[in-house]
Amino acid sequence: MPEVQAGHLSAFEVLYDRHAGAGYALAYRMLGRKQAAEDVIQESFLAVWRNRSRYDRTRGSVRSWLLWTVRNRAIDALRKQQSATPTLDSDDDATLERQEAGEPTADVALRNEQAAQVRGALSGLPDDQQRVLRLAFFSGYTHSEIAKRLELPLGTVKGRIRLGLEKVRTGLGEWAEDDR
Amino acid sequence: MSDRLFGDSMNELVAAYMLGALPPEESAEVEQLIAGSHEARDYADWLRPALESMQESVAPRKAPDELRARVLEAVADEARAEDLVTGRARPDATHAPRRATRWRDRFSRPAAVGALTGALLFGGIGLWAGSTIEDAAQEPVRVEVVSGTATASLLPGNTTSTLELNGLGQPAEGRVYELWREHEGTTAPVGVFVPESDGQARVAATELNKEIERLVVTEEPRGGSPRPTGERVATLELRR
Repeated sequence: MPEVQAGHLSAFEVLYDRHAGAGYALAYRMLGRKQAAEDVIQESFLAVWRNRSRYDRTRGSVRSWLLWTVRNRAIDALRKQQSATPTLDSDDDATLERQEAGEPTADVALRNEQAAQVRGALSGLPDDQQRVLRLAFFSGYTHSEIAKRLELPLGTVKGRIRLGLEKVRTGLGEWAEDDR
Repeated sequence: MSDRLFGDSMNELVAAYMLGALPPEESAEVEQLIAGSHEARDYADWLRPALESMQESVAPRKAPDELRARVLEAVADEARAEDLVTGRARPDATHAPRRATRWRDRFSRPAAVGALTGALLFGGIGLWAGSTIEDAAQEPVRVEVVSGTATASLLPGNTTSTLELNGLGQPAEGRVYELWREHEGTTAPVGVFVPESDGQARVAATELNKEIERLVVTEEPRGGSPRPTGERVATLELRR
């Protein structure tokens, strides 16, 4: 990243090649449309380039920063669409997993393992907690929108979000600590 | 762990914030809470891996090759624009897709000059024609806002002046603000800009000589316009 911050385009190409697959998968998962996902990826990488001087490695990895940017922009796109709501089929991730990853590295293998672990942690949650996390994280709903959609008291939704996230965090176990 | 730090209701707010499940106004409040509370910050830091792992929970998917070309070309365009106005030589310029002709074409149009400035407004700091705001002199010019709700100040420099604006709000989706200078009934573009999220905008501009009487801000389509087409959102009289 220091080379990207210094303005090296070749370093930016490396950054793109390393992380575009993850970003594209996340955007596609959230938006459900190829063109919309591509637009989000283009906006996100441009934003990373424009804001490269602001990146602070003490606040997380470049990959996390990029994926956070992708997710925020995908949420913006979702909220503009309003009516568009990605499906929450449990088969989605499995379908994506069968796609060619395009990054045949050890890092990818580790990430895939971690991804599987997270999916395991998510699927191990009670359905009600899992559902609110997915609606917020992948579909961009606010807690009050989720409460309205699921016809639940707002306090119940807030509680499920907290409990669900804490369980995912606890379920990550050692690799999250090692990764820090 | 969390209950030991502070109450469930606080944790619920932080968790919802981390998940992105709060509307913007509530998010801003929680950001303040996290900034001012060790307990809230510790809890947010503890939760962060859960959010990062959720980002990773979708298996990677190969992005289309044409998207790669499009993204890298767009970034190379921006990099070249930086080089043009700063005069710096990029160490690995040969890696960038070259479209010099297109850039010359763009610079032949006044509106595109504004677009270039907009592209270079990183972090609210503008760069223009090889000069940075650091060369600004220290004698401020009084700026009177005669219309609009913004506040403004101008720091003139030998080659580049810096206009700071607050309170304009954000332009509509797909639009930008454009700054114009007026002198004896003629209007010329200065540059386009979008305020930072805190509402502040700093625009660096050349050719703000002593004859310029008035600055005007309008809302224009992204990339700017060769002449004002949108509503005036601020008019600034310069008093020297």
